[in-house]
Amino acid sequence: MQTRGNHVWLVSGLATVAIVLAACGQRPGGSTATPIPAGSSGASSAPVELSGTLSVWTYPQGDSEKPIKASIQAFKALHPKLDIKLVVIPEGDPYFQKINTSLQAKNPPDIAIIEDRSWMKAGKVVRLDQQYFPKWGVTVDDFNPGGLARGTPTGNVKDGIYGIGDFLGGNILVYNKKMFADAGLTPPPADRSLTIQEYADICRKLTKPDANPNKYVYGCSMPEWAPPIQAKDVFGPDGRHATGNLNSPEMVNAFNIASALIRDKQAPSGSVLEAAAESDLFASGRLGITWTDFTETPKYKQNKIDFGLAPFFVIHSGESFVDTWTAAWGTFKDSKHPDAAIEFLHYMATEAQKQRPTISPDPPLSQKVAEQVGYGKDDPVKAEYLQVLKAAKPQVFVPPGVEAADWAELMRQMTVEKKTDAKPLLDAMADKVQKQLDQVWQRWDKLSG
Amino acid sequence: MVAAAQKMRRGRRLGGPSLASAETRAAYLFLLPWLAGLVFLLAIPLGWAAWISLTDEQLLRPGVWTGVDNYARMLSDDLFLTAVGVTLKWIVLSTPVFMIAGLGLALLLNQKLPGIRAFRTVLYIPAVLSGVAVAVLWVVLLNGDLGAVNQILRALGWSNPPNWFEDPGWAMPALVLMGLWGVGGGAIIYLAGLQNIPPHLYEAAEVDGAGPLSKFWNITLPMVSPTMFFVLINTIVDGLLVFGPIYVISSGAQTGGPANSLLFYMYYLYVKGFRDGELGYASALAWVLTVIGMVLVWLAFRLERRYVFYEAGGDA
Repeated sequence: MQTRGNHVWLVSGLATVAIVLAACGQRPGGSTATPIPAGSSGASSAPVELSGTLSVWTYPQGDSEKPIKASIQAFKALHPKLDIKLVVIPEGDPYFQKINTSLQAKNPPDIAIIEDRSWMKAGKVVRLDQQYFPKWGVTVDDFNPGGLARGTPTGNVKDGIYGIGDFLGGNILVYNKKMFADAGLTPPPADRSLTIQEYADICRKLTKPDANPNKYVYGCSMPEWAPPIQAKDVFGPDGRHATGNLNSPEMVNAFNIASALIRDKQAPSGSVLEAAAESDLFASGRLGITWTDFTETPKYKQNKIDFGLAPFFVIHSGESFVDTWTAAWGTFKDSKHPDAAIEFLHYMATEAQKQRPTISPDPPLSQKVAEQVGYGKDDPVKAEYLQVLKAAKPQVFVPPGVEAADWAELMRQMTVEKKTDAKPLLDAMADKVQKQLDQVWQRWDKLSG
Repeated sequence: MVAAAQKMRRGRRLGGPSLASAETRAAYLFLLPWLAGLVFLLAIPLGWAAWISLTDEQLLRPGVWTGVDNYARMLSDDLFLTAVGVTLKWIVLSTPVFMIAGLGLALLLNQKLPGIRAFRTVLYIPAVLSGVAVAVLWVVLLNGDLGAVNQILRALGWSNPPNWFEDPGWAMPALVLMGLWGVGGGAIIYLAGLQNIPPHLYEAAEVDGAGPLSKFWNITLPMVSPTMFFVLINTIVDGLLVFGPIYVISSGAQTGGPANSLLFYMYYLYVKGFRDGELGYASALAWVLTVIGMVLVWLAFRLERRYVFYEAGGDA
């Protein structure tokens, strides 16, 4: 009986401890950084020998994340004792939530794409420019301002750089040269944005209807976020005024034009795009002109599409626009491996810039490196891309969380429910958005590190 | 018995533990892991949720005391009222449909026919599939332009079939359609209830000249009513907790479906808590949902006294 009682105590105690540990969570082990003996080389190899396991979280970057995997391999070669675990999380909500919950648990990844500016504003992310850029031998001016702005809390580099990317991405237009020639249309210029009316006129001339939905050729794509792509057009130049901007005559006109294209089947509807994305339709010759990420261009080449590039269209004539971006890698203050994380970011800000153009078609984020490696000199498509990128300009900053601006629902009402006038819809939306905008600015101002 | 009692008294006189207290201790020790789970995984999180519902706790910063502000905010929150309406509408619409369909299917599966076991297996398979996978499948099937359902409807002569998950008027019926595909799970529970009905009741009824409808109304329904009550409670609770399919259908947008026609309560709670980061408000929403659930279940138990028949007599 005494022996059996002891067993009962042991089993119950172990089970209880297991339950309590499950409830409270555990912390992983740390890494160590030991100094390399004097005389070792500098910039490409880090000043300390790193060991342990570094965690890197990302969302899908296209092309099976080849660039970041290549950077990880190269960094590991420099630090053989360091292991790096790459975790790919679906983009959007799942990515934000995994990071948010890891921050709540004070156990964030060591390196991640700093996608939510709230993380920077709340003081969770290590600032890079003041302390580290000088040590790394780089300056803010080395980098493209539009792309670099993605690593700042407000889109203004003066507010600090918290994330650094290794490429410059841009949402641009791509068009099928053969379809344009067959329709007798002049290709859009690479140095000026089309207006939305010009874009729609082109679209209608390129469409080739077919009873077979798998052979239908659409003139253009019209995503619901396209008319309001410039934040200044929605929230004003200071990002605080939706009323009068979101429901301006130009925005009403833009949505009227955009929805008509979908209603008249000149542009694919949301249902069609659930089956095939714009880039896939373009690559199969079923879309005349569409928005694209430059990373997709190898797919078009592979499918022997003769294509050209142009800036994104605008709703106000007389201006040009390209939305530039990067995947801004950063580290959190609660990282368990701060030394290794900072060295990895050092690599991303320097050596990875040179490595990137050898792996993907995108230019490096560093304009200085782009010139050094002669990006675009031997490739007319890349040269055209650089020309188009000259229209890039930073976006007006608006804190995250203004979800009353539901463009998908607006476009649904105008295409599925066939409402042809956007004005009453935008007027109603402007009221709701303004209230929410005031709230998110209040919430943003309360966040501080 | 007397010897055991004497043994116990001897044990006490000698100062050692009695058999009864040793068994009691052992019982508590075996219960200890469950009790630890109850405290650390349920009671403490519930208490913490109740506490932060009285603060403005955010995901990225700790909250300060705000009293009942979160609860007061709900009264002027249009989306909260929409979410309550949509969820209750779903419960009212789906519960009778799923219960009747489940019972009907169970009556069919209760036949003694060759191959009936295979049918039971096939009809149960959708119930064990991942909810997200099922939702993705049905979103594709019910695609307004390219989905198989609408292509069949057009071939049958319906030139303008519904846009299903893009039409606020059809979104919830589309969800019911999706739910009916998985009704096999409930049918199996009904089947167990049907198979527990003593056959002599049907034999006696036949002797008295009762027809099929009379047998169903006077024997089958009363005898299976406890099972139906169990399924009713589960269906109500499941209806309050609908989330996965809505997340897939909404593609992660804030609005639950077209014109918020599928803005279910749990989805709205998720948006406020994990997208907007307002943990305090989300916790208040969670507690209000708990109260709503308790009220609905209480109402169901009130109905039980009138409509549920227990063979042994009295309440279960």
